[in-house]
Amino acid sequence: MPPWIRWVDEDQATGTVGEVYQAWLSANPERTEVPEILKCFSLNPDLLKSVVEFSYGLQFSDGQLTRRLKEMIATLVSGLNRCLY
Amino acid sequence: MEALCRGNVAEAGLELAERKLLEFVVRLTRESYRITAADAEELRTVGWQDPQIAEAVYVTAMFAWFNRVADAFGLQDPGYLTDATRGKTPPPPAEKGQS
Repeated sequence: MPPWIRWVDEDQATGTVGEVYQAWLSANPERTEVPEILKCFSLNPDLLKSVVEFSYGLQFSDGQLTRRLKEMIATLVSGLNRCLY
Repeated sequence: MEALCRGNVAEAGLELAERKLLEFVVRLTRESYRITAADAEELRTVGWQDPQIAEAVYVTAMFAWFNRVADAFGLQDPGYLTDATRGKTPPPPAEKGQS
């Protein structure tokens, strides 16, 4: 389903967006598509790059809190916001 | 995880400390304007350190942001949670330092 606001798809991605998508896909070989939440930031390539860096740094590693607990927080917040995605 | 999907902390079968932290996450999500010093104080009394409380705040606020961006762009449910709640964890994105 096309997004309600335009974004850059994998086959249109060039420059920084292309680099970010390629880096993500090669780091996740089992996936063929970049997560749509990341594409939402593709109209601002520098922001996209920063979002990937800080969100993965914060969420997908054991920091002060375990990754398990952070996944629970993410699930809870998204549930409260009724955000199916 | 199923109870948390529905925003229900009480039924998630958690230890006291985790339950208190997630109740704080609910307050921060629903009524952050009502947060007071007592909130962090209560979390300290069940063993949380300030850097941990701060990280919970960052993750909570970050997902509120992602939720709104996803809603604005009209993102549909990719089925990750359905897989997760059926015991099949969705494929983890890259660990730090790889992407």
